Amino acid sequence: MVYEISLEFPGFAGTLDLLVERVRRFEVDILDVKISEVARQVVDGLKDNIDLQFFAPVLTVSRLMFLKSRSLLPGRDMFEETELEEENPEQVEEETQVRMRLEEQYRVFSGAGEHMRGLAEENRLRIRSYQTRAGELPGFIDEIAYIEDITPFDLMVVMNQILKRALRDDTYRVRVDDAQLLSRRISEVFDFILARRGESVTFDEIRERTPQKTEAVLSFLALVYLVSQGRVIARQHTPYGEIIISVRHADRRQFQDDDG
Amino acid sequence: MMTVEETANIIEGILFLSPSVVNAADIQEHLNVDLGIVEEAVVVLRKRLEGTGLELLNTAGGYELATRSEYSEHLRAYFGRMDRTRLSRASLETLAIIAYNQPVSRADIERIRGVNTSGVTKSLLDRNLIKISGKGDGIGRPFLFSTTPDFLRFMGINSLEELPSLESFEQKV
Repeated sequence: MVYEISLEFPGFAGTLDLLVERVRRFEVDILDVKISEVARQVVDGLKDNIDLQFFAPVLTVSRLMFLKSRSLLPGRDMFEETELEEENPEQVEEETQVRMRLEEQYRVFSGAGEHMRGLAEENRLRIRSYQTRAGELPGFIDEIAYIEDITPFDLMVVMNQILKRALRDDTYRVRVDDAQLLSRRISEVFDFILARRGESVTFDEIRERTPQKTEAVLSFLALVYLVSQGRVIARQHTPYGEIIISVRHADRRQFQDDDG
Repeated sequence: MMTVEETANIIEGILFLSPSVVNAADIQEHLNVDLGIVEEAVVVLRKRLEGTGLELLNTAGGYELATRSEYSEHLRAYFGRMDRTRLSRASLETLAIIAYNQPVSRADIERIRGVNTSGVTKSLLDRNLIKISGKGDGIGRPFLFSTTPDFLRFMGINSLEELPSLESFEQKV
């Protein structure tokens, strides 16, 4: 069923669709149409018909409002948009060519990226002496897997392995109810790392400052928070090995600048 | 007067201890010898390392010592370092666009890749593989990105000229 709303005001009597059509054909001057009156009559017509299909007239009124607003703007042809709606074969051809050029460009750079992958892989096989010195990895290539290379599935598998191992050992249950306590510990741990002015810190060094087990758990939670916020980088060379912590490169460069 | 052989010995020591690439001008300045002597010593050192487990590389406009790739598996097994640093496909494509078009804005990169690249560029900046090298003239003066010397080290090349021309990839397409 096609629902039609009848309108009536000075200079016009008929359906809403007819009004729009007459405006488009210049048979009714849009400047003589009171949009508020049209909207009122449309709302009245819709009152008893709450069904999605009846929202079509609302869209039609919007269209009418659009045509009127365009006509009121200086120097704009109110039917300019109608012309644009018609497909211009030259324009379509041009757009297609642009899209094809971009796709071709993308394929070229994708190929270049693959070539670079080969170069980087080959280079990875050549090991530099600094790569075996803990805490002295150069800024550009910390040998850790970055977040974007880790899937949630990887994290889940690793967490599962850790939990299985943890259950075999003596475990302690610690509750941290005081958020302020944790917040304070985060600041303390970060200050301690920053005080090294770019040098790496091990987690053992942080833990030694607070030997109690509950305190160690707090420090570890603080470290996890700092890593998650991208403030520090933590790495282990072997599973369950020493945790080496350093500040992010940007902060490290800051130290170098400060030192002149 | 330092001989070429002596210079080669010292360069070997510097490269062995250095955590980063060492360029010829720095060596020349510190040893107070002619650049020609340094270059000659490098040739001697490279020859001397033939048939050993080490090689002298030309990377990022300088020299560095590294183990030969054929022994990588044994060395990694010995040091227990099985971690892998690899760039994602998105990062490599973005790096390629920057390397061949630098300096280039993020909008230009996104125009070619057709997707948002803010995460990827941030990651590459964090790794110091790219840097902000200026601002463009366009609307909003966008940041322009270029590759860094660490990019060259990461790829194991001496300069951008060692990258194949884009035309060679066009032919493959």
